[in-house]
Amino acid sequence: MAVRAAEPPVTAVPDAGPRGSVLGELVRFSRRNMLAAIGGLVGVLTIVVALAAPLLAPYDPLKADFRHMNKPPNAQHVLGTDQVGRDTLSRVIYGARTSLFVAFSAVILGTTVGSLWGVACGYLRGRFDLVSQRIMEILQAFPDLILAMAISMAIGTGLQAVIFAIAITRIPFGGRVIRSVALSIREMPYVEAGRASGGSALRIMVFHVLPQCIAPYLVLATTHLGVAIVIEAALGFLGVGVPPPTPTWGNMLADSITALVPPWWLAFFPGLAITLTVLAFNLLGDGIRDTLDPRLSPAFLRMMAGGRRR
Amino acid sequence: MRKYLARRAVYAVVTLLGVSLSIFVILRVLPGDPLVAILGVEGHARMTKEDRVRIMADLGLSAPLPVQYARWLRDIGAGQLGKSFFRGDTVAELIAHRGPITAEIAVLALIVSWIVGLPVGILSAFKPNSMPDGVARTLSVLFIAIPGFWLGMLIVLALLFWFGWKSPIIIVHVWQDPWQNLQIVMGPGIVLGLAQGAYIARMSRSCLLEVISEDFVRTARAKGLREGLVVMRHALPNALLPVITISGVLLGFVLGGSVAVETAFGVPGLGRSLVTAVIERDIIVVQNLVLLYAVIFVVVNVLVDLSYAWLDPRIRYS
Amino acid sequence: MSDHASDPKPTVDRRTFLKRVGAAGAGAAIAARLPFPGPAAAQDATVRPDPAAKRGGTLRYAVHNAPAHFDVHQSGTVANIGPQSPMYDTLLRRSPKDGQTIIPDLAQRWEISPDNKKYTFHLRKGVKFHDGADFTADDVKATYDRIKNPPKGVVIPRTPLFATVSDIVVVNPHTIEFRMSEPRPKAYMLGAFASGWNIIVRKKTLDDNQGNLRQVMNYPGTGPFRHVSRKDKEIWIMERNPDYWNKGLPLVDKLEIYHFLPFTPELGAAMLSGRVDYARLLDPVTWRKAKEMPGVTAANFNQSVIQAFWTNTQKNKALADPKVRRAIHLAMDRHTLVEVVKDTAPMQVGGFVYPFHEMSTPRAELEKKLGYQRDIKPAVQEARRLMKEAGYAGGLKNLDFVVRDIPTFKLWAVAIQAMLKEHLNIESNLRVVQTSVWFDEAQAGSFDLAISAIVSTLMDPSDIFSAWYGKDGPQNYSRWTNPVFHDLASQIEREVDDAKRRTMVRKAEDILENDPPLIPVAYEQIYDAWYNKVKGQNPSTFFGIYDVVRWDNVWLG
Repeated sequence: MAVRAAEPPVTAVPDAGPRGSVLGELVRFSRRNMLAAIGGLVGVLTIVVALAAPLLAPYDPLKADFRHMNKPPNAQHVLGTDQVGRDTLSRVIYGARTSLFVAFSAVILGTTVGSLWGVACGYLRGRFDLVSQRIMEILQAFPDLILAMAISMAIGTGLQAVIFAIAITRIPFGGRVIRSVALSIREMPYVEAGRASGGSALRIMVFHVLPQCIAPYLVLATTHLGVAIVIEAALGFLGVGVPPPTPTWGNMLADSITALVPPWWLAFFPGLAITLTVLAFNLLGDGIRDTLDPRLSPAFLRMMAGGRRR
Repeated sequence: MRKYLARRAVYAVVTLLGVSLSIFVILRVLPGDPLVAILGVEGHARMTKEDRVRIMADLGLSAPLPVQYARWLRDIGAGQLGKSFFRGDTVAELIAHRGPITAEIAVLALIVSWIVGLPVGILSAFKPNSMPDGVARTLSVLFIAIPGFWLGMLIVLALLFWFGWKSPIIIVHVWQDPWQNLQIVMGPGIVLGLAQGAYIARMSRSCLLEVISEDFVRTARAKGLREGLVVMRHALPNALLPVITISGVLLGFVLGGSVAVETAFGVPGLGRSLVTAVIERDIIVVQNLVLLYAVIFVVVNVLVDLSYAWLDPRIRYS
Repeated sequence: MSDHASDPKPTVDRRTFLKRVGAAGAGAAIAARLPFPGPAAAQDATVRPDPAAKRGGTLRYAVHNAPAHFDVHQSGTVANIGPQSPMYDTLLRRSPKDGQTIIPDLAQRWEISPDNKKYTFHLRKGVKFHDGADFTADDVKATYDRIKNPPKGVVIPRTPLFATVSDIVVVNPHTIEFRMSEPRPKAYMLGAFASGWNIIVRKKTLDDNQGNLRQVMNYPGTGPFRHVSRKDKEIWIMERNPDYWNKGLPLVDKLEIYHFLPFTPELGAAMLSGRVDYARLLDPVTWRKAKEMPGVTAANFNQSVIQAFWTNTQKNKALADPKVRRAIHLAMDRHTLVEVVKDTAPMQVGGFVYPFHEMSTPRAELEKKLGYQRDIKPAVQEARRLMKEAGYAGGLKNLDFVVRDIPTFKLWAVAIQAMLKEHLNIESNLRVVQTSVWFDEAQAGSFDLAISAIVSTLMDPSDIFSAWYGKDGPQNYSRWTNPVFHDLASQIEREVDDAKRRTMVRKAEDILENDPPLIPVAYEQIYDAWYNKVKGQNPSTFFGIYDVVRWDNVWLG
């Protein structure tokens, strides 16, 4: 189930040869995984939209326009307006900014911390490993959303708080998976050699173990991006996420339920944005995982489910 | 096996203790004042410093933290799950009254996920890359991406708009009136079940694909056994194992997801109580409910582990 | 939409009556005006059942029903008085017929001394509490002693109303005297006694619980209904009190009180689908639909709440300047603000006092003033001029605007932020917080602007002049003072002549317009709707949802 010890795992770093080969890799990747490519494209598009929000949004998302309150999609406001006349399209675009920023930050923070911790666990083993494993089990004993809610209840509801709360829920995953990888790499001949020649643990971890973890790390990060986006949206929907008036997709959904039958455009478009973005990143993540190490796939899933075995 | 059992049990207990400590630590840092909800807006405005100290003491919020933690554990051990700050309702009553609803939702979700996910996954595995497989995989990926609470929101709006229908407003348990009860749990159960089903479809598909190419299945086929038999006796059990494992993880998704989905459907379940308690900063309720969720999750995962270990000969006979 | 509601009273001018009647006993005078037998007879002027009424049935009624605690006296929210009121009586009450006229309740008749310093109440005999105990003047004394002078740890919003009551004396088990150190207008005091909040509880209940009933869900009352069962945030079930002193009442057998938050789609759906018979605090969309449904009656009436935002005069130098505050006041487009929430909650434009109170500037006149006009250009011009004069022609930056987390306030905050920026170049940052945090920030003064809503017990200006605008008043979040105003307010409190009082109130309003203690946003309307089988309750002329909530004279046809 774990990577068979005899063969070194496939590395993610593409050939550092002539420039054309990176592009070539991408093309080959796309041809083999059409869906993932599309997902990647949509994902990149969303990122671009988020970054270029000030340029793309037709109106200021925070500006109220009292002459056009509650208007359905029309020529002037392509996705309609909300109860105070703010343009829905602009808010969805800026929502992308906030949601993606939160998701990326949380995933990078959480996965990185988790992975580094996992490397340390896998390589050092012993008591450190034992205690760390228990801590991660404790973290994983909480359902994601509930843990995030409890943490944000404690530390407040600003942007940083939400990022922090979601990041904490991602740590155990990185810890578990990267630990397994580190465990197997530890037994490799060249690592043994490094130890024998007197290298410090830290040196070995950084120069020999870490590089091999990049591939699984990338897979982890992309796979969890979608989850992070949904958690952030759920927090916003429940009213414990990033506070208004900053538009986030979750907030917008919650704010839409202010009348008996809310204007459909307010309830539909933010949710659609969430779905498409999560879909895109999930497909991308799938493709990356399939490419980087297909042997890892079902085993990987099992590991994600809580590798309690070596 | 026995050693494994013992070890696992010890780990579980340690985890639970750690869980309780984490909850306690997390929740003792908070801005906002539960006293406003208790005294009402006007009352809080007219409260003096001495009043405040006295009321905090009454509610046990002014003892030193380790003492509060110890008292909490002792109370739980004694079966006393505490009272809400507000209205004096006990958490035990809350769990007894609303717990069954959330439990039903979880069970319904599980059933739906298996009924929907397994057949789809199996079919996909047997005809990989065909059109139905493509459709199934697309739908799976779609249902994983759609936020459950959004889907719930849309369904509620659609039902309200087109049929003027909204689910029953007070809790009716399944032993009181099954049809009313079903109306309450149906929405969240199905929505969560579909999302779970998508995971199961993918999982079983990839596991089956792996197994199908394995030697022993090929051998069975070569021996001339019928396809169906091959599936039933050889492939299926291997696909089921990881599905069981992942169901444990998916329970976590359901417990967490039910919080948002219950809110979207307006179902009076435990998840919604948790959200209300978080917003009202009702510490005792949040503490004990989160503990409950974590305990359930840990217990289920231990059971899954044990069943996995029992089924895996490597561990069973060690 | 609310025209008839702005004339709250029909033909009776009870204040004039009270004045003319003086020592002869206000109760007798009122009785003489009502279509009941004369006061000298054994029959008295309290609520009597409609002769055409049918008995029996269960009334299903929807109202916010998840209070933070159960002590009605300590509460200020409908979440308590809505469900709990049917179990209790008060000394006097507002008639369910018009929601205004004060009629006898547990006090069968009363006398007011000519110097207005002594109120004597003659209590009914033979009244029993739900637990069988006899009702006596000792219970009234214990109840009012607590309201007047709460024990440590207990905070009661109605305490200031009885600030001038120096002594409560039990003359005999059925007669009790309230002695005042200073006189107050009769309407004011009688209104205080008739407030739905001041329910009579047993002396023993208070003694047994150290004067704090927060955790006691079911304490005995003398009311028409008694507790059966309750499920938190779902339903409270009550049944008819067979020993109720008012023979023939209540008319229904059972009350099922369903919990719904105000203005929510759930409430609307429950009403429209017939799951409840009577729905209170509906959102406008549902209400309009209900109005059009055959077999349903819909009513709207005034609520005793002001929606406003406060400006921190202590921490912010600019906001301390009355010119700046008047400028902000004038820059508000109030009619648009009411529009903005029109699908969420029903509101009406108003100033610093209830726009529908007889002493306040009438609405037609109000809407001619700057700040209340439909065309805001003149007001904005004046506002800009004031800012320039104060030295802030360039506007203000970085104001901390704290918003209470309720849909109406969130929508308004965005609108107000936009108006301030557009008209006065005032830039603010919105910070949405939970209710409890809002009150923390407001109390601590950590805000520049803060938006919320506050309640008053009476419509009477004297109540709000001390509660909302009083120096160091607990709801005076702006920490505003104006010595001329406070002086005038104490005079108004003591003035018993109506005409003089009205002139003084107008003068007070003018002071407030020019030196605003808060910036009024709107006044709430309550939308109720019920199926026509529910008879005996039509709140169209009511003020607030706290006085007529007992359901004793309601029947199902």
